[in-house]
Amino acid sequence: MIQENELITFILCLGALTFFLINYSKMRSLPASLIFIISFILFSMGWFFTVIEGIIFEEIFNLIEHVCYICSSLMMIIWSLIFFKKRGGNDFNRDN
Amino acid sequence: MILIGIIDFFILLLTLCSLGIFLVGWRSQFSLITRLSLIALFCIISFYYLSNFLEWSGISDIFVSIEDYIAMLAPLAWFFFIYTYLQKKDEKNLLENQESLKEAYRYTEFYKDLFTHDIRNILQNILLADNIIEQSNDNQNRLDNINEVFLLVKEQVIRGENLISNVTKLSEIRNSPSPIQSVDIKNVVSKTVEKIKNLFEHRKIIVQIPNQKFLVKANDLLQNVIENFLFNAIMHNKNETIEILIQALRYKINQTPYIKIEFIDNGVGIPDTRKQEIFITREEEESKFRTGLGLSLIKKIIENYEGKIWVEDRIKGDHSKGSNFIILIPEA
Repeated sequence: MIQENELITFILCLGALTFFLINYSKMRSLPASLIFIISFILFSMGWFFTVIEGIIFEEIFNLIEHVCYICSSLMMIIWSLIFFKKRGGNDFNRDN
Repeated sequence: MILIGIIDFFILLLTLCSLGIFLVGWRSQFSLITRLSLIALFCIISFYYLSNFLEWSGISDIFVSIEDYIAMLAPLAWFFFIYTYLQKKDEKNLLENQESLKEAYRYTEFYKDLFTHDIRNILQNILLADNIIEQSNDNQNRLDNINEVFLLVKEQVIRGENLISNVTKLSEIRNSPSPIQSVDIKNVVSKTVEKIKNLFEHRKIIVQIPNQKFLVKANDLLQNVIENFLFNAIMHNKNETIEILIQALRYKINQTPYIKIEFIDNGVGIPDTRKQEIFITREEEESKFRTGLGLSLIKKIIENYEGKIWVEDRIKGDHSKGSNFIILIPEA
């Protein structure tokens, strides 16, 4: 059975993803922006499978959901490492 | 369930590591609000993963009732982080554009001042030539004066051409400066002296040039530097014979090797009170102290070479006997 909260979260993820894709050209100034976006996409996919598991193949989609989360976390840690390796160059969006 | 619990444990661990990496290096990144939104994002998803881990490993389901509500904030935190980042970037771009506009406006005003003062001065001198002819009472006087007038007009035209050349070079330096390379001073000085002598063939000019080869870190604009020095030495000189001595020698400042080039003339000289000011373009009442764009351009070029420039009196203590312009350029 589909949980309302899970569905709302998934819809919010879609909304955020739409915003990111529309502004992707501007986001490219963020180092390793592609990895950051992939991390978010994997997170959103996790929520997609969370919603779907309520309808069909609960155990399989539940496992896939958690696999998506771990991949998202992996991407996030890779992004953090790449980003802070490059921090010696320019300061981004600093408050002056 | 145990497998999923283990997976959730590693998810939590990775997320906390990401947060740790960010906190270690956070001071040099992002604006405050962007940093806070990223920390909030990490905290929210860490909480969600912690709740999942506790539930699936069977330890506790204390957070089960609220985990979905907290998880709803995760996509909002992602969105807010990117939104604030882009907003700050737009503000920064706007400020940079404003600065560019201000600089463009400053240059517009500068060129306008240049046009109204320098060009007007040149045209007035040409008009003066016309007045000399008109005030001649008879044809014989007119014939005697015509050569003098012709030379006056010619000098003003040369002055105008030099001004246009300097404006073009100044614009080039701003937009796309030539690369620095090894340049032979003796070669450049010889070519420039010949060019200037041809332009001012009606004046008696004696120029001594260095006979030793020196290599400096410069570019093709070095010729403009030497041209402007020679031009000023000729234009601000009321003597029958214009004498210019150009000498070069090795010089060191804090073990850094330079070539010191001196341009010593017998012109009108520069008072001590003006020795600092002359490298700044400014309107003056008396045209003999009007140094115009030439010295500003020279200073800009020399600064690009990481060199130095200053002026002294040809005879120490008496500025009226002429000037000694000195430049230091790093030796190649």
